Amino acid sequence: MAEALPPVTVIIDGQEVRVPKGTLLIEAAKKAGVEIPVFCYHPKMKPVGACRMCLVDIQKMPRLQTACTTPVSEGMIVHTRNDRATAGQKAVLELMLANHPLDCPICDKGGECPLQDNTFKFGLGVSRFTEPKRKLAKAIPLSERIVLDRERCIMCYRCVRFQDEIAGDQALAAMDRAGTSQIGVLDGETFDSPFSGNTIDLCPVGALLSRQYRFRARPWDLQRTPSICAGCAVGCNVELHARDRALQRMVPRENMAINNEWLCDFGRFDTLPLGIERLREPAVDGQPTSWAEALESAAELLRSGPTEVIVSPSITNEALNAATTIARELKAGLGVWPATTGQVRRTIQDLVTSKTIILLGLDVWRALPVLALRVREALKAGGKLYFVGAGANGLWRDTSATFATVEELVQALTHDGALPQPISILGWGADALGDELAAEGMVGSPATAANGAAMTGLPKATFEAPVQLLVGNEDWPLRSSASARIQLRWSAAGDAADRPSIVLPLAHPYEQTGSLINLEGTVQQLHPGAAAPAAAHPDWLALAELAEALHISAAPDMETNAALA
Amino acid sequence: MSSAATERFDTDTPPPYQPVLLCHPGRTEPVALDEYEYRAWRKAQEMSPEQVIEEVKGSNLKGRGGAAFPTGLKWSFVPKIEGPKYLCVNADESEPGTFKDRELMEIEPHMLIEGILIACYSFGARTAFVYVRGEYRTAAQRLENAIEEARRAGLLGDYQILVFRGAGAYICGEETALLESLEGRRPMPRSRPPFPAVEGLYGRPSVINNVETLVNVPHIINRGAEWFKALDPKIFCLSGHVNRPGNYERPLGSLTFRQLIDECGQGVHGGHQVKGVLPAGASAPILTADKLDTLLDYDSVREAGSMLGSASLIVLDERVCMVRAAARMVEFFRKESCGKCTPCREGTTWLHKVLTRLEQGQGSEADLDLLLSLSDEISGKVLCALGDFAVSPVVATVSQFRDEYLAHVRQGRCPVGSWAE
Ligand SMILES: Cc1cc2nc3c(=O)[nH]c(=O)nc-3n(C[C@H](O)[C@H](O)[C@H](O)COP(=O)(O)O)c2cc1C
Ligand code: SF4
Ligand code: SF4
Ligand code: SF4
Ligand code: FES
Repeated sequence: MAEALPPVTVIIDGQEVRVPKGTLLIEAAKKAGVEIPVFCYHPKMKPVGACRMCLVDIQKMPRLQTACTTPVSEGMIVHTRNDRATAGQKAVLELMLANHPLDCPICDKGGECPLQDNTFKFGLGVSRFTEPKRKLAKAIPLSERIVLDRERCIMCYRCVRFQDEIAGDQALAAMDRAGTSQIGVLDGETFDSPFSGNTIDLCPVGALLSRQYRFRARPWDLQRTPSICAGCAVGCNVELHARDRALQRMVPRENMAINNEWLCDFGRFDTLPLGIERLREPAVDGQPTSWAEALESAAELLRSGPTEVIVSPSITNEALNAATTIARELKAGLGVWPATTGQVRRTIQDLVTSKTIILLGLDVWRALPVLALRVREALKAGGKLYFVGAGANGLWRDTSATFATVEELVQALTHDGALPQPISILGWGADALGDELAAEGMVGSPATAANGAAMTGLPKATFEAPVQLLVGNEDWPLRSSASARIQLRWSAAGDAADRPSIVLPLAHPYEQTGSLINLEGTVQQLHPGAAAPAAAHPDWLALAELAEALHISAAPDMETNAALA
Repeated sequence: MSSAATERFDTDTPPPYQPVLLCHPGRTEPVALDEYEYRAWRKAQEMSPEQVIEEVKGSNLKGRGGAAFPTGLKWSFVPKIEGPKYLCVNADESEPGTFKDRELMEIEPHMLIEGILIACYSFGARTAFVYVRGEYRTAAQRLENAIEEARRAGLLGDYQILVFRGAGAYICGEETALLESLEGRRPMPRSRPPFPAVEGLYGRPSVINNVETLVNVPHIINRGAEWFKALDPKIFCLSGHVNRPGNYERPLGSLTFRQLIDECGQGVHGGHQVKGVLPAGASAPILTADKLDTLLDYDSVREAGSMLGSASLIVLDERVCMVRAAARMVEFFRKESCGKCTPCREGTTWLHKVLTRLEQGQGSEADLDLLLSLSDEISGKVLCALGDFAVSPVVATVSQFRDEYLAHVRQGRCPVGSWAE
């Protein structure tokens, strides 16, 4: 909205900058290259002016003002580093640190802590607080995933505001008042939100911490690799953090076209290969062996009988290509399991700017979590959400109306005229309704698996051929009808007793290159953020090797990918 | 505290002031509808809303909630747009020593209702919420009864007045925290802009007015702006070490602190001397006895170095330990801080620790500088006025009663003793 307003000129620390009228001073300062310290302010949430860290001196104003809540106006002259401003900033830091435990040496946030950084850059260096500090509970488990250290909390409300404004489930609350103010959940409840992990990133101190990552690494020891979440078809952009090449955690990377700057808890915590037994060696009939021998045995089996090549909808495009080539050359069946759809018109950006969103039985909140947050962005900008069907709808708080059938929806909503465009429709039957309503937004039945969009058109696997080549880390329905089975996977196979069988260890998606196509059709690259077990191979390489053992020439784009390995 | 003390007078003195707001001295039961005419309401409806605002502007009525903001001007800020607008009546009255709104609601509920209706009419609200302090059970009940009477008599038309009872926090009297509380949230003041006149209750244009502000409005409409301007009635809540504490209505600027204490309060309790007066509960700096001849109006009290605020005067006699008094007041603010902003939340906690140390004779002279420096770190850096209020007892006592602080330091105990327990 601010963009529509005429530009104004402001002078910040002598720097002239032109920004739209109404821009927050803190953003104008960023544009002028001036750093103003903040704690509670976060560009993705409404400013609250709570921490008072961003105090600056604005000419003609009797009091210092908070840069995070002040809209700029024409000719404003601002000093962020003069004596008055720095005195204010030092005062706020001294008071904020008075009761802060300063247990940095044992705090996970140490090294990436805005409180440390701001104190270093803008603080006093000494404290006049001689009384015993406030003692509060530390490391309170709020959920399976998150612990809270009450002593470290500086009451910036970022976490509470995230759950309220962004996730919309109000899973956290501020409680009590004055010096005993606290963040928490209601008695007897846990911090259950599919998005809780984002509060760890948002917390400017070590108050909200990941139980998975706690005490595992120091920020300066981490190798950081940009990659893509392999959890679902949203394809959130992430950074993989490893220590000594072992994966420690995953955090979001901002991409406004896809995930904004959020991740869901499933993606962030549960897609990491941590605490899961890995398949470490190739094996034939339960006996460990070398890749060469296992590939030979596999080739022999594959040539022996009617074969079905079955792929998971989460393998890379390059692996899919290789699997397709192998199936074609072997004249074998090719199927995907679990079955996937993936026809979607237009992009997530079109969803975010929609005025009407209709979900046809699709529980985005659960199936494509971060997409649900993008839906909420559209609603905050004035869009309306409707749900059709009797199934679960995690966005129920934001749903304007629920209908039993599409006909009821059309009847109820269109009798006063057309629904506001752009209209986005997601779920089974979206195309037909999209045509009926001339929808201009995102329309279709999106894939839910990480690379499901690439598997559109592949039939559902039958599991009926006597020889089955299973590619990917799925809990395959293993029927005894198969006489032989070859599995390429990264977690330990559960059917070692099954004979004859061959298992080949794969790298985890976070340990290899490759590309995935997200639900809107964007191709994104995985990059290895950690070392795979010594004998594990990327999915596409393992299949290329298998093709070679079968004397099938590899598809051309596999060569380029092999070069990336 | 249901009525003012009965006035004594003799034939030599000028006739006593005739109260306009507390016009039923000694009464303990509410004025019922059959005793009250909604004359001003009828008259206002014959005027245009703009004329009503002009009349109130012309009367110079200033908000009685503490900030003394011109009421007519406040109403004129409400944008003339479609959709709901709200009046929120501030009846949270939680400032220590303030009890005027309570008496007004308990005895004159119809006067308040009439003021509410006229205010709503002027800026286009159809719904008013009255946010009543949680402990004011009787006031809330009587107000609800009166609203029902007025509704039955067809006086409300399509106006709605809803009584909402607070749950007991001083900060709920701060207008934006009040809005948060009304909306069902934790009462924490909002950052401004946006101002409530533009984006208030439920994001709609809203006016927040004090009870006493609104009861003046019917009189302005009935008798005209000029009459009001010349009179400017104000209720003074007098408490502390006086013989007759209570609510006393007098024109602003018509008497001094001394006159109020002597004539209305019938002097200091037990014949003691005044050591100081808090003009606005705990929120404004204490004035020492040498300022007693200051006139009771906004400008004079400001010039004397304090603020009249809601005019809740607490008289402290010479036996009061000022260190203890400061510690007590800061304790109040420490507990009532909403905790939203750092300087107030942490600063009041720290100030209270230092004051407690000093009060117990364990402080040092350096602590006095620390107190002033901490006050400076809080003052002007907080989100709402509570934080600024919180330092005023500290700054005022350290600067005016420094010798008392030093006596505590030197003697290692309170020289006055702790009679006030
Ligand atoms: C901490 C704090 C407490 C307040 N408490 C009250 C109160 O109890 N009653 C009241 O009318 N105003 C109170 N105010 C003032 C209100 O914020 C507001 O200025 C007033 O209600 C406006 O009404 P008026 O313009 O009619 O005076 C308080 C202000 C602050 C900062
Ligand atoms: S837990 Fe962290 S994010 Fe939440 S209020 Fe405290 S400091 Fe802020
Ligand atoms: S929404 Fe999907 S892609 Fe994004 S973090 Fe969750 S599982 Fe990963
Ligand atoms: S000054 Fe005190 S009461 Fe006001 S917002 Fe800050 S913490 Fe809350
Ligand atoms: S960053 Fe501006 S008040 Fe917190």
